[in-house]
Amino acid sequence: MNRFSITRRQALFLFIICTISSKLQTLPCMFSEDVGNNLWLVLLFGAAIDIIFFSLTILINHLCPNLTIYDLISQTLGKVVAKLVCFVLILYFLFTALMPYEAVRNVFANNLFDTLPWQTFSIFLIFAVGYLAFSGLKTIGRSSELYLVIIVASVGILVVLGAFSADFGNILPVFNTNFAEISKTYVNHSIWFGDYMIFLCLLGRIDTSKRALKQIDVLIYAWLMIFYAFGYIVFYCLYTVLASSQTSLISSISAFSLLNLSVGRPDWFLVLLSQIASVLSLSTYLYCVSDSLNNIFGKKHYAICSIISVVILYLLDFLLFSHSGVSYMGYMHISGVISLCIQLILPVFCVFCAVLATLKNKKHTKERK
Amino acid sequence: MKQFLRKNIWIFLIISLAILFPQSLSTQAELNTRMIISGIGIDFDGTNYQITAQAVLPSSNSKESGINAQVDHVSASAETISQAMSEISNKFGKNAELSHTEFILLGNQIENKNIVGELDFFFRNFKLKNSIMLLTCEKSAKETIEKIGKLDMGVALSLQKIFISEEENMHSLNKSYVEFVIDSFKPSATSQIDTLEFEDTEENESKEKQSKAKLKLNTPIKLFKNGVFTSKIEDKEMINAFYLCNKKSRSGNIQLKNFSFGDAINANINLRIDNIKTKKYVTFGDNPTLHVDIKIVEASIDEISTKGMNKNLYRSVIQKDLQQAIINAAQEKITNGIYELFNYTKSINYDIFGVENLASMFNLDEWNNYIQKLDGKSKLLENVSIDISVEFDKFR
Repeated sequence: MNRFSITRRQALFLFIICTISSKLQTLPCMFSEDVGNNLWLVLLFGAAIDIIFFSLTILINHLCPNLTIYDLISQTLGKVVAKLVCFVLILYFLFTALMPYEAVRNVFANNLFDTLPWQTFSIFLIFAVGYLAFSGLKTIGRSSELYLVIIVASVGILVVLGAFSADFGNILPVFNTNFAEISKTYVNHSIWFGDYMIFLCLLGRIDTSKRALKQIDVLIYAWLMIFYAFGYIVFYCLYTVLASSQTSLISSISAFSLLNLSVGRPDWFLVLLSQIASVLSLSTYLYCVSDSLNNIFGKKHYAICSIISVVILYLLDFLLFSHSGVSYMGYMHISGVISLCIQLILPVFCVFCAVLATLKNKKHTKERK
Repeated sequence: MKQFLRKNIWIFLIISLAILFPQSLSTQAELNTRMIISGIGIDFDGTNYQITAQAVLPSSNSKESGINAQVDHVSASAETISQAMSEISNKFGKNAELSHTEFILLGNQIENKNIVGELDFFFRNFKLKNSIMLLTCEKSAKETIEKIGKLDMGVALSLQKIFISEEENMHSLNKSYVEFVIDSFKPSATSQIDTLEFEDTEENESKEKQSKAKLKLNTPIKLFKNGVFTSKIEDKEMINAFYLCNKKSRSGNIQLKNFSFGDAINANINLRIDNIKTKKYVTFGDNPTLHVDIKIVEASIDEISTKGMNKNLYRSVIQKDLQQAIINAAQEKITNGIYELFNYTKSINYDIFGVENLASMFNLDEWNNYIQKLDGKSKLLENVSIDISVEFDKFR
């Protein structure tokens, strides 16, 4: 196992961390703006689609356990197509990386500090994230093992604290929407879904000698989504019409708890601890960008590729949101459609390649015999 | 490249520290230009908003002791609340920080306006906590907020904490501005705010230069509909009934005056009730019925005050029939209070128990049918009846 490979457990932990970072921050606020009390239905709808494609990813892993996505495509369809797919992955993960990046910005610049020079502060954030990505998958994987309990406990406690102050009647009446509205909201915000894309990018990097990815991982994901749906319900019950004006679920779900304590708001520690998820997920996305860049440039310059990807992310945020005046929502909708296409097409395409590779292998073995 | 980075990482660290350290010093200097606003009072004189800020300022010897601070007040008027808030900063010569604001006090003139609309500035400010408490007062907010400075420092700076703990004991109402808006947007559009009042200290003021004020509890509750002031509950029994039906109130006291039990006992009894569980729901027959089920898990006698002497009252276990009589009296008192509150609010077409909210959540179709039968929404509560059930679990 080298620094560019992780165990199945680490991969699963990373996956959980990435879902926390993507699903439990700004996303519920946006959903509540579009579909109000049915926000949890959109989450479950998106999760159902993700489960199908997650299963496909596991299938690819079973068919070609030791091949990376680049190797798989280059073996079946040639290097040009493989590099093209890598370019698509770079785009996808850059789009995705901007989401937790902006979520961290929301928490630090809007909630925690009165005045925060984000352009300076973000240099240190990007340095930390870049260093993790540069250190390789093994470091990110080990960090995920180290921090998962803290992150999950923080998020769990925050949701439970919120649940004690929530009036659950506010979620009623349920199903007072139509399928078109739910699917439209999902499409607009699909960039926050497709967490299985990490597994797709990590194919061949997951050490399958002890245990390969199995359908039980899909079950874990399903349970996770049910817990998140509960978190969404708590959040909506607390804020109802004002849910869309909140900046993040994590930072606002415990706002009405522990108010009578004389030691201030200890739940803020939990909010800060849960932000580790954003840092780890950001570094995972950046690793995916760097790895794909590295594949394009012939697998020789990973260090340079990781620096380039870090700089691109910093500049993207700087140019896109700070200078060109692109609205966050506008960006979400455009990138949402593009990323949905990638999320839906790429796994199917990879299954096709995996089947092709398996057939080739069988033919090759027959010929040898 | 990798080796270069590993060997020279300390250079990056030193550069980072060199950048960060002076920045943190400047941040420290910035701290001195800040003041913490712990409360905001809002008045309206017909054309201008007058904002009175309660600011916490470090006192001269605070550096040595580290605990001293003083509460100061400053007012500013402007056409909009945001302009007035900027004026406050200018007057103090410091940046007004709203992240520690605990309450917003509405003056007696502002409450006649739409509060939801008036508080827009505060909703748009991300620095403000969602949990900020809303309060009203009988006089101007300026006059009332200045009186807070006469409270003990501990009380003045933790007003919300006191309201939260007293809400649990059925003495006050901690309504956050977010909750107020949420309630106003619900189908029944009704929300309530507590009134901030102080014990009369006029005599003290004449004797001592630095008079002290005392916080008053069980003050009138003001009723708002669609964000606009409608009426207020002043009657003690109705206030008590209101808190009994408030989910956040968990324990309290019930006073049974002139409680008689046969010829032998005539007393005033103070009953302590704990772990109150309230359930409200609506059923539909010909007309909607609101059911209020109150379960008091624990009840105990706090005090029995009698003129005469009766040894039955001092037994370790009170006789079953006497116990039942006390329970019956308490049930009757609670039921009457809630009836009174329901009938009063019904008479002004104010849905205090959120019948419309409950019906919209659980019985939407039946509720829509009921509305269709009515002439107009102004008579919404006309045919709604109430069914109250009070149950005592443990009594000692």
